[in-house]
Amino acid sequence: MDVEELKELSSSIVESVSSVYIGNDNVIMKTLTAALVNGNVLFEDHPGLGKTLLAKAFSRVLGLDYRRVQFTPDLLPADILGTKVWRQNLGAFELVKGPIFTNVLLADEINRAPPKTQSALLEAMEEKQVTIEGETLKLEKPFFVIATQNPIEYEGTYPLPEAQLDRFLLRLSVGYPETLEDEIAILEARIKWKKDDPTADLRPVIDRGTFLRMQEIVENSVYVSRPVVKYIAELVRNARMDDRVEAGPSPRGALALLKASKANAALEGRDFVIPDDVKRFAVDALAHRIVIKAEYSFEGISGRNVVKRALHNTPVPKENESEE
Amino acid sequence: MDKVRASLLVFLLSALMVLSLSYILIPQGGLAKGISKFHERHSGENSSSKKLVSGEGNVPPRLNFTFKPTNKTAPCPVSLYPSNPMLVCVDTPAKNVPISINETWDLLVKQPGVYYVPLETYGLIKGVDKLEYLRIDRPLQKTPVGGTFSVRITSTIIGSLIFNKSKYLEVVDSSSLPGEFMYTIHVANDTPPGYYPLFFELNVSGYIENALLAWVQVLPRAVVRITSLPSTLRGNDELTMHVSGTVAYPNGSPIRRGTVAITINRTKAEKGIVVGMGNVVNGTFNVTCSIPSSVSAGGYSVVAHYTGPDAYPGNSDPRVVIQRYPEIDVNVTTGNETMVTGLLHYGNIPLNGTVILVVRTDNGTVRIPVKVNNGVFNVTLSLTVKSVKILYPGNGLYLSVEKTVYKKPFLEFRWIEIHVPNKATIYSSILALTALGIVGILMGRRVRIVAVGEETPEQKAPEPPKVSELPIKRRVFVEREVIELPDLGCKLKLDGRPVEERRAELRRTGLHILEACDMISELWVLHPKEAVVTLYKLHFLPFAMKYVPVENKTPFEIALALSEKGFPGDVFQIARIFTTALYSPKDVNRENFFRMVDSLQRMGVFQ
Repeated sequence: MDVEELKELSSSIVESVSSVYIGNDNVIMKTLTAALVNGNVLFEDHPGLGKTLLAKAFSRVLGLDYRRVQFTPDLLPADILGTKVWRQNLGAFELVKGPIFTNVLLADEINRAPPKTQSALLEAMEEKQVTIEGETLKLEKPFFVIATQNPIEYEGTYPLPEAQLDRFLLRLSVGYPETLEDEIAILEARIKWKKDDPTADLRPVIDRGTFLRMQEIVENSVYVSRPVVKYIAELVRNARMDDRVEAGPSPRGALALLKASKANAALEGRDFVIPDDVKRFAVDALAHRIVIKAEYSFEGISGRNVVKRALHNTPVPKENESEE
Repeated sequence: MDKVRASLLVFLLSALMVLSLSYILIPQGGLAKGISKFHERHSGENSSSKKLVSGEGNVPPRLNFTFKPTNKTAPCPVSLYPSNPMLVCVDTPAKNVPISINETWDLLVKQPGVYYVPLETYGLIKGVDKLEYLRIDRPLQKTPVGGTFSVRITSTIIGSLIFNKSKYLEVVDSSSLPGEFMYTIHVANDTPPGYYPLFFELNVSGYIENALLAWVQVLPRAVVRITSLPSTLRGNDELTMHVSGTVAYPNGSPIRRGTVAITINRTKAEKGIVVGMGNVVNGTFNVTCSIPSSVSAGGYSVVAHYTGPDAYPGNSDPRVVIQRYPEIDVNVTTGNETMVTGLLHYGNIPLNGTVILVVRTDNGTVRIPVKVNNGVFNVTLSLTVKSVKILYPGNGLYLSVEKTVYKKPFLEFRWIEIHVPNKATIYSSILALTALGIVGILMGRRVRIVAVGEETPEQKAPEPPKVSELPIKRRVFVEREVIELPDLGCKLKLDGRPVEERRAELRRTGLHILEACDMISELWVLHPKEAVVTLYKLHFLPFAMKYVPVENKTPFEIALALSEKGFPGDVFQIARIFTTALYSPKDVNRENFFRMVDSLQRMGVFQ
């Protein structure tokens, strides 16, 4: 497989997902980008915009196993990871695996669970493994989390701590349908499906093995030149040094931007990264890792503003370093 | 007397406590009364220092008032809020006033009832309620017709707050937190320009109060165009630039008056530097701008900002390229070897590139290209020189300059090398130098004292003519490319060797120097991959920055911006070839290079 073939397969995947998820191909492309590098995605948006549908459609089309966990205030870590139960007849403890043992985990309304439960995901999201009662178990590849949270409601929610946010490769916003035609298309599609959940009718476009090969292509066959590496580093540093920032994007943020850029290049059929790939994902990969000083956050300044300013202030490399 | 004072004090303290308690503790309707009382008290306190225009009271009207006939006039334009009548003074007539305001802006009240004109001046903004329990972040908003703006209101009491929708203003988004309300308000596309009041209805336990919290000034989008502007400015001192243009309403009719400030910006998003101001007379302006010498070379957007009663800054596209002459600071020490160190800079800005050293010795002249890295160049030559001329051939932004240094004889004591500025310093420093020499000997080092050559009046040669660039359209080539040489009526030299024909084949990679008639050009012969990158840098970017910002834009963004300016699809081909050359590990062949040259040719880059 090469990047051209990856691009063709990706187009089929996007086409298939967009047959049930109407309106925003950009979100589908970005979610696929994250999936190609095992990146976790946080959807921050209002209820009813199809986030769950998108996650389910993806897992179906990619031929992957999928589980959904509704986060609630009384959810415990063991409810996600699993636990060991005593089997009287066997005279031994048996591991009952939790829903995390899957390929795609949808953590719905993740900010409704207390931090202790949210933290249960940390190890899985970063190291792709879980530890249950001292026993560490590797998760099957691929593994990534698609989480959702509602940005409006505050009552009874626990904002994700910075360490948790940092584990998300991208934070995306689905957004409301842009046009009246999109709204109508959603309604007409529902009439055509004759059911609420159309994902059961989706057929896998690829199987798990093919998806893993696509991930290998992104990892091994996409070249990142020194000027682009330097551009990413300068961009992240500029965001970090913004005087409105309390805590800037971490090196993990820079790595996330690098990975997303590589995947985007591959999705566009290129085996090298260009600054456009970086720019496209800068806000999605960095903004949620930025903590704004209180006085600026009251003025409505957000991580997005900081990243946009950094993009504005960072020159795009147009010559080799040796020519400097 | 003391008893009277004490009684007065007790009375005042009691009154204060009662007021405080009624304001803080009274529930339901009582709280509303507290608000009302507070407001009256607040208004009354301020009124003593404010001038009333006319009307029956010094308190802005609240509820249950009517108009009554009057023939009074007020020396200010007024606005009236129809659904909750209130007259207030504004800078220009608000368009939703249902009374006739024609030529005169005096107050004319024709409706029956009691009228109120609150205050002529109330803080900075006329007629805005200043309530301690209800505050707005900006009491005067400016927005273009069809624009959207946001307001944030904080409240110290608990209740609901509703924006009173009017014909042209509509809330498109709102949110609230305890004690805070945010509104995003859209101004309709058919809104006539003018001032519009922002009224809010506060509901505290059923008690409703209306408050005018802000004004929005709706401005037409003035169309500002720059019609005359130089494309390039050259020089090191303050540069003069004449800018002419027009200011009109969207329908094309000229805006009669106002002022225009001209700024130069690296990008449109920047605030920029104001370089000139002028008046608008019947829709036109002519401004003579002065660009300070501190402005570095580069491509700049020239933006004309219209300020006046009616408009927003113009969105002008033209760009000007400022070219500067860089400075060369050079130091030459010579003995058996010659060391040339120097700085190439413009003010505090170090430059990169290549300088050519024209070194004159007893045996003739040699030319040596030397790389300049971050403004610094240095080279050590194993020969004794008579003079060194440093030529900087220039690029798209910095012009060609040269500097010649003539050497004096030097003193030489072979051991440790210490550079001092002149002989006098040597004599005066002799004791120190001797001590250093001894230290040097003890350390096993060679000691040498060198007087650094100075340019003295008697040594100065006649000022050589400025070196300018040869009229060579392209300066980047690939190996074995045959170039056509210009016929200038004087002898051409390529790398110091005379060229008889008007064609020459560039055989080896590297820098070639072409000279003729006291003009010089750097010709780069490179591998196609490097040649594409250099071609982009030397030819395409200086051309592109005349039209669009380039620094923080990617090659494809630049191509898109140029395409939107009407340039042909070649811009995308150039971006594709360049990105492959710079960002990918793939090789670029000669065909790609020549394809890029053809595209640049069609765009007019080499003209």
